[in-house]
Amino acid sequence: MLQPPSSTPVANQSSIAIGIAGSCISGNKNQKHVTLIYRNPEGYPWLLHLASHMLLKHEKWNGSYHWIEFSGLDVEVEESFADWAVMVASAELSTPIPYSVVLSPDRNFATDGHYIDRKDGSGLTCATFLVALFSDFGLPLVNQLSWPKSRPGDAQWALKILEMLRARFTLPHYLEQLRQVYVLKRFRPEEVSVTGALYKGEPLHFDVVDPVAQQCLAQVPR
Amino acid sequence: MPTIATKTSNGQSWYFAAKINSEEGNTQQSPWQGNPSLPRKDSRTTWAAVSGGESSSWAPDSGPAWHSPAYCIVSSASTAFSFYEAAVLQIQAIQNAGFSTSIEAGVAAVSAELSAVYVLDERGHNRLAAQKIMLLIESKLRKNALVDANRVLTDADVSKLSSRSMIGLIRSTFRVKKQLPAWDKAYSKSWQQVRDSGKNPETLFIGLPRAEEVKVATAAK
Repeated sequence: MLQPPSSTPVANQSSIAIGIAGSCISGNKNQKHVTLIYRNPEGYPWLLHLASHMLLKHEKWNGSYHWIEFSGLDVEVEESFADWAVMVASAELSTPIPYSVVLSPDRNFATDGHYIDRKDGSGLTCATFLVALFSDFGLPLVNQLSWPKSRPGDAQWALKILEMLRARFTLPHYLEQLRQVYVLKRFRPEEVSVTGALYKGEPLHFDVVDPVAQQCLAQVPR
Repeated sequence: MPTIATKTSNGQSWYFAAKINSEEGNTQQSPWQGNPSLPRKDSRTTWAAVSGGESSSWAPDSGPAWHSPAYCIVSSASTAFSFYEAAVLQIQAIQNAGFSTSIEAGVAAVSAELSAVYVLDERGHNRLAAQKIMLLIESKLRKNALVDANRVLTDADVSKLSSRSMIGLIRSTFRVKKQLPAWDKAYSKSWQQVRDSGKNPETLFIGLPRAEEVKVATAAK
């Protein structure tokens, strides 16, 4: 299922995949990062991902990610999603998406496609950005209600992220996240990365995703 | 090279600004100017015209019948991308066309855009057609022009759309479907059209509620 960075993604049947990388991208050996990989109309793989706070990246495939292709979607759906995602992402360049360890339970994108900044400390991570994007196109990858809160390691991860990005956050954005660090519902990069292979139309339950994500995590170098 | 022809209305008098560039590079200026008549017939040209909110397109060799088109899009073969750019220019022409109300202009603009999508689909440029219809939707949503976005759903003739364009139409509006009264009906029509074309709607509309469920929910309201 998990393919190495040395191989070319989305070169065969599937035209979208999710890429996952360790410290070579995140700069932190305990931090994974995920991206959408899609095949553009000219046949080349491209990346679309929330790289950091207010930093959405759309760039050519760079050979840095392991990747997992989608297996349960028709190619027409895949290509339409990719084209739409790039279109919507271009709107975000004027209203950048705040990075946050806190995910709002409400809608993330407004009618006009811009991220709804509620000024309540919420935002997206690289993983929840993909979850939100797929969901808005009618492809709900995960059953969010099934995800557990406050798993071991989540608070430590959140505190580390807050420390890393402290200088880039506004004080209210930082403090609101800090306040919620111990009640987080976290969608981990490795969990989102395996949804592509598992998704068959029904939102995936945590119990289905978790064991596969653990296997994936073991294969991705730090 | 694609051609744009625009007709504007000033009371009962009509005038046209047209420029035809055939594949051979010949240029003919304003064939209908001042005196409405059939556009020039050209075996390499596909015609699309809009009239009163309805749109029509014709295959090469047939040429359009006279429908008093508000605008006429003319494209030649193998120029899909140029045609796409031309469609954007056409919208600018429409915006300058002097309609009496913004609603009238909005109806005509959506119809013209949909006509362009039909032509692209007819010519097999299905991915480009789907991109165009999604771009049309997104351009409306970004301006919070929900009435216009709803009009796209209302006016789209799904029998002229490829399955890709139907995917684009339905899914790009999905996130705001509660604000678009026409969404449920457009989805049901698309579902049926996909089925009639021999494809599996459950595959193409994966992740969305089944059309039957949408119908039931709508009826219960």
